[in-house]
Amino acid sequence: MAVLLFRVDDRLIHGQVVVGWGRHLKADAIVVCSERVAGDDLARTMMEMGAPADVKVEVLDPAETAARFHRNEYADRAAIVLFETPAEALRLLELAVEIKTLNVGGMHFRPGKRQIMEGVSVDRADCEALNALAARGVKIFVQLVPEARPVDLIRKLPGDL
Amino acid sequence: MIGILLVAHGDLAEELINSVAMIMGRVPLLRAVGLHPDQGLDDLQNAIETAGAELEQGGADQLLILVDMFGGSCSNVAARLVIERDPGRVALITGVNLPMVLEAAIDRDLYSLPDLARKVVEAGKKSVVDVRAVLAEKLR
Repeated sequence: MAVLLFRVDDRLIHGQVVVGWGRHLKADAIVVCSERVAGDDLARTMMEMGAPADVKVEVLDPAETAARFHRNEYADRAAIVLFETPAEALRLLELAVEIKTLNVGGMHFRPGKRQIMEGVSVDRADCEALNALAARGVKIFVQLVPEARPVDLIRKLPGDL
Repeated sequence: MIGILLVAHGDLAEELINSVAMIMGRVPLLRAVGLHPDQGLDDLQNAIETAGAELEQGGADQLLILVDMFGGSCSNVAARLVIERDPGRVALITGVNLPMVLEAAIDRDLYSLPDLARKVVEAGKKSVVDVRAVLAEKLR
C-alpha cells in the first residue's frame, strides 16, 4: 500500500480529512485503523458514508491493517491511514508497519487532558505513545490542513504529565 | 482563475468563508457580500459590483456567484448583473451550502466556468441527505 499520510485525528473521517487532505493528496483510499470503530456497526457505516464514492474506505483494527500491509493488498492505492489515538499508531508500528512521518490533526480536549496547542490536547498515555513513536524515528507534526505550517509536536509535549 | 463570490442574507456568506477555512485553510479569490436589514437593493447591487471588481483586480478572469436562495433579493439582484454579461465569464448558482463552496474552491482550476457551475450544482444536490433513511438502508 502506498500511504500518502498517516494521521492521528479523533474525528477520523471528516471534512478536513476528506476535502482538505484527501483532495489535496489525490487519495483514493482511506483506512480507519481503529479497534473501536471496527467493532461498531453504526460508527463504521458513518465512516463509510463520510467519504466520496470514488474513495475506498476500510475500517480495520490494527492487526488487520498490518496484515493487509504485509500482504501488500493495496499496492496500487494512494491511501490515507487514520488513527483515533497515537497509541494505535504505535500499535501499527509495533506490528512492523513502517511509519516515517505521522501527521497529527485533531486530539480534542476531554477531562483529564491538557491542551498544548490549538486542537491538540494530550494525557499521559498520549505522551507516552508519542514519545515511543519519536524514539523509533517517527517524525511527528501537527498540521490540521495542508495549507497550515507543520509544527514539531514532540517539542511541545509537557514533561510533567 | 475563477473568482468565487458568495452573496447571502445576513452574515451567512462571511461565515461560509470561515467554515471553508476550517476545512481547507484560507482560499484565494473568495469573497463574501451580505445583505443586512439596513441595506436597500441598490446598496446590495453596489456591493456585488464592488466585490466582483475587487476579485478581478485580484486576478480573477471569470466569476462564479453563489447565492443563498433562488427568488430572494440576493438572487434577483445578482441575476440582473449576470444576464447582461457573457455566460462564459459569469455564472450564478442558488442554494449555496458548504459542500458547494468547497467543490467550487477545489475544482475551479480543473474546469471551465460552465462545467464548474454544473459540478457545483451536483455537489449541492448530493449533499442533501436524509441520514436516518440512508443508515436504515445500510444497516439492514
